[in-house]
Amino acid sequence: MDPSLNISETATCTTCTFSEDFSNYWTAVLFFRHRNGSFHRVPLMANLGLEKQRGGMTVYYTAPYDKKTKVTAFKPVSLRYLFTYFASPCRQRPILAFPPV
Amino acid sequence: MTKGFRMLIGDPAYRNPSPNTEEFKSIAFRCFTEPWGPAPANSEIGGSWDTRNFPNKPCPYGLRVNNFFPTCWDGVNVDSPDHKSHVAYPSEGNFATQWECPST
Repeated sequence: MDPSLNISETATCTTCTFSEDFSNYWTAVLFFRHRNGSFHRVPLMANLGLEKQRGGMTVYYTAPYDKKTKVTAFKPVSLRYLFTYFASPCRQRPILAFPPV
Repeated sequence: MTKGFRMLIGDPAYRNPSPNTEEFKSIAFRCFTEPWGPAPANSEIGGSWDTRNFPNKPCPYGLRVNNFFPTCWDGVNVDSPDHKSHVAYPSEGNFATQWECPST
């Protein structure tokens, strides 16, 4: 993904629950491997209370509760975070996520 | 903060959860063996109901993966060569309990 490409600014739609939010969140998909070697995609479930959407993920941006920690907001169009997990010798799944505009 | 902030969590080679490592703090798994309902007491995300390794038993009501991102920033760098060194987790507690950042 080209770092100069700013999807958050050019997107015209969103699947986020809040229609004002043009974020792009990509979530990992888990595959189960059968003994015969074939892969089966494990379905994604929506969170409790959000069953109208088909899968996806829930993202929390939490603020400090301690009343003293200083918070600096990241510039909305530029935050990118990437995480990988469920790696196996044969497969690794990177996820790219962009913040709300 | 200037543009271009990036951070990375996770390690594809992470296998053995050991407390106080960055990888330990970044992920928690919840294996649901009962239907969903109101959250029982003391079952908060990242707490004792979670495991830090992928469940090794059936989870008929679902598997939840929680990823926690560092909440502390060095105040200067929007990125670093490993995409991790410019941010940090609080030295103790989890995202819900402890916000004090290490003095880096």
